[in-house]
This record gives sequence, C-alpha cells and structure tokens, in this order.
Amino acid sequence: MAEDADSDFSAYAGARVGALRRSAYLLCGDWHKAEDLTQTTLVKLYVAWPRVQRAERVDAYARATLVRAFLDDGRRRWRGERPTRDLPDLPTPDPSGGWSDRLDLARALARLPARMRAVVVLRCWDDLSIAETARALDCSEGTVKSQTSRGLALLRQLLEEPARATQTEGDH
Amino acid sequence: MSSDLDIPSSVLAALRGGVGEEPPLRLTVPDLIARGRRARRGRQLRHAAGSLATVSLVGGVAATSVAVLHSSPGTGGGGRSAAQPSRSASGSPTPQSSAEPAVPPPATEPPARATARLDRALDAALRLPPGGRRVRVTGSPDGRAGAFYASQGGYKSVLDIVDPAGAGNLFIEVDGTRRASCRTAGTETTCTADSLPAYQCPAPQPNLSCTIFADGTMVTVTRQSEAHGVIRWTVSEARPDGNSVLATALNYGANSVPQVKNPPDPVAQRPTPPLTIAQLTALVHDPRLAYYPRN
Repeated sequence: MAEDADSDFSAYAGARVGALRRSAYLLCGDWHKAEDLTQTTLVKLYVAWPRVQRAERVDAYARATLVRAFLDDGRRRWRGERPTRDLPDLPTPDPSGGWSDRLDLARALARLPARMRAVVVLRCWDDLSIAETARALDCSEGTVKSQTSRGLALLRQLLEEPARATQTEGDH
Repeated sequence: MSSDLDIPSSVLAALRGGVGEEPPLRLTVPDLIARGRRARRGRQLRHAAGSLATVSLVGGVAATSVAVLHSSPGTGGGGRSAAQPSRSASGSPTPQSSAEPAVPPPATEPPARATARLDRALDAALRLPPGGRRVRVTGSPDGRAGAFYASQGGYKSVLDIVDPAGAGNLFIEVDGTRRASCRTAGTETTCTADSLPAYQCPAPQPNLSCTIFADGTMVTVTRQSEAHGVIRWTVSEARPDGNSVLATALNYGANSVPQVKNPPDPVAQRPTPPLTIAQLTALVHDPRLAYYPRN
C-alpha cells in the first residue's frame, strides 16, 4: 500500500515539479528560492498525500501550499538567507528578444505586494478560477476579484512605463 | 491563461513570454520522498510526544544526548587559522588534523545533538573580526544564534556580526542530503556516497570561481554586488561523501531590516562583509561542520 502511494506521488511529483517551480519563480523572482519553495511544497504534499489523494484535490493542495510557503517565507525576519549552493543565475539575452519582456514581467511582479502578486499569478498564470484562488489564499472571492483587478492595472502600468519612456526619448 | 479575465495586452504579452530559460532542476523525486518520510516521522513523533509515556521517554533521550555531547566529534581542538585554509600544495584538501578525535562518524544523529555539535564547531571555527561579536538575528528560529534544524533538511545558522566597521550577516548551511540523482539499472535513486557522481564546475561566469581538488572536493566562490551597495560573498564546498557546507556573508545585518510586512531592500552598513573570502573558505572546509542524517 505504501509503495503504491509512493509510486503515485512519484508520478505526480515528476510531472508537476517543473510547473510548480515556474509558478514559484513568478512569485518570488529567484530560481534558487523557487526551488526551495517547490521542495517545501512537495515534501508537505508527501506527508499529506494519502488524505489529499483520497479527496482528489492534489493540485489545489499543492498550489495552496506553494502560495502559503511563499507568503510565510516573506514574513520571516531573518532575510539574510539566500541559499546559493551552486551558481547565481545570470540572465542572458536571447536572440528572439523575449528576454526583455520576461525581465519586465519579473520586475513588475516583484513590485506588487506579496498577496496581490500571488492572486495575479494564480489567476493569470496558473489559470485558477476565482473560487479556487480564494480557497488557496484563504480569503473571500470578493478579495480575489479586487486584488486581481488592482494587480493587473498596476502590472499594466509598470510594464508600459519603460515603453513610454523609450518612446519619449525617441521623440526628442 | 485564464479566459474569463480581461488581461491588458501588455500583461498578456509579458505572460506569454513565460519565465525564460530555466536553470537545471536539482530536485529529485527520491530525495523529495526521503525528505517527506523524515517529515512524516517527525510529525508522528510530535504527536506521540503528547502522551505522558512519551514525555518520559523524550526526557531520557535528552539526558542521554547531553551525556553523549561530551564525547561528540568536533568538540575538541581549535579551528584552523582562517588566514590559512588548509590546502596542500597539490591542491588537495589536507587530511583531518591529528588533533581530531578518533571517533568514527555517526551514521545518524538526533537534531538536538547535531545542533549542539555544530554550535561548538562554529564557536571554534568562526574567526570574528577584531572587536566583533555575534548577535542573534531577531526572529530566527528558536530565538537562537546557533545552528538549527531546517525542515527542508540540513542544519542552518544565521547570525549578525557586529564590529567597529558596522553590522554584517553570516548564513551557514550544512547539508548532506541534496545529492544528485543516480540512475541504476534504469531506476532513479538518491545517490549514496559510493555512487555519487564526480562534481563538475559550472560554466565560467564573471563573478564565480570554481576549483575541484584532487580528492573530488569542489569549492565555488561567488562575489555578488547588489543594489544599495550590498555585497554578498558565498563560498560553498561540496565534498566527495555528499556533505556540503555553504557560507554567505553580507555587508548588512539582518536585524537592520525593519520588521514590517514588506520590508524595503537592505542597504549596506559596512564597506565589505564581516568575513573575508579566505575566512569563509576556511569555515566551509572545517571537517567538524558535517551533516549526518537525523534519527
């Protein structure tokens, strides 16, 4: 029985670890921290696996755990920690030009308050419904709606700022 | 992307750009399962500790741990000179000093004993700047300046160092479980010390130096400059037995960050971090800073 559960968990973790890490990266903006958050999430999921699997809400549990781990991490006082066992990930421009957009997105997301960022990532990136997002963040659906609206407006403003600045420079 | 949302076109374009090139994933499923099992065992133990019988048992174990501490490895001898990290001329780490007690390393170790052992090792190995003192970081786990067990595995220590030049921060991590994934007969497993693949230095980067010594030990040094004059020096040592020690020093103190919900970015409080690269290297090379799986 335990082996079956491990096998199911292995299959799930193997399939979802990449997606979870990408979500974590959008939340925290740091690949190393994203990996730690993903690890925390999957370890907690493993502990709760029999219960969560029976309830058939594995994805929802994983998303909620990831977001809570991210929010908890932000509350810690000892912010000197930034595990970098191997290498800092230095951005390298890609020839397609997409790098600039991604950098802008990461920077703009980083300027949103943590909970607002979580709402935007869950709604727009992970494609969760309002109800699912509210459950993951343990808040009301009204809060999700207002935070999404404000978050997207702020993101738009932040993302369009550099473009406007460039345009203005070009006009002169 | 959510279809029921009115996403502004600029945001949509940025979201479609994705997250870009991803660094290699270091998490392995066997490692996650091993950590999950430990977490589950710990949880069961905490539940069990609620009963009176278990309380007395825990008391007995604690007493035993205290007694064992006096003979634990790493409690004797002073640290190496920070200015002279012990590397032989051939570039191979020197064998352990003969002053090290000839006690075989334990296969497993309870966290209470490990944190006490690592505290003592840090006391001996840490060379503070003249006039420097260690300061507990507000809000650190257990309210301690010493080592603590991290739920993700391994032991960590976070402390501020304050000397006449200002406040700085030191973060140390000792871990032995984050090993590469080994594939044996088509099955992916967590590597054992014997099957651990040789370390390979990452691709060259301007702020990184990496050395692999004759015995297979890999030491990497990164020097990062961040916003507001913050400098971050990190030295990590990955040992052939799977142990790894990482030390990061910053030129700002964690206590200086205001305790608010979303604190602002840190600002440099001294010209350079409180420990030099040589001191950090000596620290991570100290054999007393070692991890044994918890039991």
